[in-house]
Amino acid sequence: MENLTFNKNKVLDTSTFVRVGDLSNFEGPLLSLFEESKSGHLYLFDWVDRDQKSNRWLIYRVLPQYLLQFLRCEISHLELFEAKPNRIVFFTDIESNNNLFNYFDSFELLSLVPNYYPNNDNFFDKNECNSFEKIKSVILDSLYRQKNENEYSIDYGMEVSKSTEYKAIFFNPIEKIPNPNSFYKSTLKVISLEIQSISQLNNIQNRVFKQHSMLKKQEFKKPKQYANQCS
Amino acid sequence: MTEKKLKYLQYLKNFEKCPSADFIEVEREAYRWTNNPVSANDFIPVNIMSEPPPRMLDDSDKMCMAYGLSMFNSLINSLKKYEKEYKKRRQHQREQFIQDKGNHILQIKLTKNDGIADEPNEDKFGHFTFYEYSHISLEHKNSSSHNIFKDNGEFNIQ
Repeated sequence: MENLTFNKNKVLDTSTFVRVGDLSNFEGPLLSLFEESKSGHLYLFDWVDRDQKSNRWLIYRVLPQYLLQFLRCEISHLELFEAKPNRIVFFTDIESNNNLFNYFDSFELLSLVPNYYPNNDNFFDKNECNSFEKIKSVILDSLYRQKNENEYSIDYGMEVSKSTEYKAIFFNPIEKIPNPNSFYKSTLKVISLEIQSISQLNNIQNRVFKQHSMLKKQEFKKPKQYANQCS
Repeated sequence: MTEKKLKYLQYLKNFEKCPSADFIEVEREAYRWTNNPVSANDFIPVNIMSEPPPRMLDDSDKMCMAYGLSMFNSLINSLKKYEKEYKKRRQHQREQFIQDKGNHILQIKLTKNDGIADEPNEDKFGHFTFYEYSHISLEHKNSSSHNIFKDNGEFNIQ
């Protein structure tokens, strides 16, 4: 397996992780979705390596709107990975000794080896997903929760901690707010558009996301015909 | 006559209804990924293997199916699924995939004395699971082998 550089002092607490289902499974999980039960945050366990004793998984947080796009084959595995709300990636080496995933420590990577980046031509395939309806339901719940947090933030003029990262996606990078009034007006506009899209959860247009410069670069083109064709 | 018992019964009995009632004795052409030459190691279910270890995150991965053998109902289905799994993986995982699964496809004629299988799943490239009887060694059956890769490394799909 690859040698990794990681921070031994930054350990992800996975004791509150609940497994939702596998986005990709063949003779065992390849890409598995978890929900952190306190925050409701969604995490992926992404199988990246193995040796004769253990399997290695990357663990990273994903936002529900991107997961939904992944399920709809609008973005690739790599694009989903790149759209994670922060740059933090953890890893865990799970030995085959009948222990659960949370028995093993998960450390924060200081850098990600190039080999571990997902393939850009790898798209979701429903036939490889062993609990599609449950996964979809959890993602939609997460979107609703996110929407409510944003409404709370507007109503009370307060920041909700979990929405901070969410805004950072749209306005990244935010270091200073030169004019707070215009900032909150634009925030309101974004959230308003987001609520519109959430109202049609089964057919999200994601106009807001496509307007963002970071995502424009990714050019949400129609997937090419690959062996891993979305179905 | 030898009593028909399934291999790995000590594991199967830990599950309720394992294998399920839709597994029956079949006479069928089957295709399995193997190494060349083929050996008994090519017929070990994933959850029995110790090296490399099975991918498990929790107890739900100890499925009944993982104590059977993955097979396909046609050569082309078997090739296409191999190609798909191969291309889905990162570059270094592709090499591991060849190490783990081999680079040949063995054609086997399954008989009712060999074990039990479910129906091929057309949504999954005609994949089905096969549970061998304890006295069977499929690696010793008359069979033919197909190289998955051409000499130039491309997939050998005609």
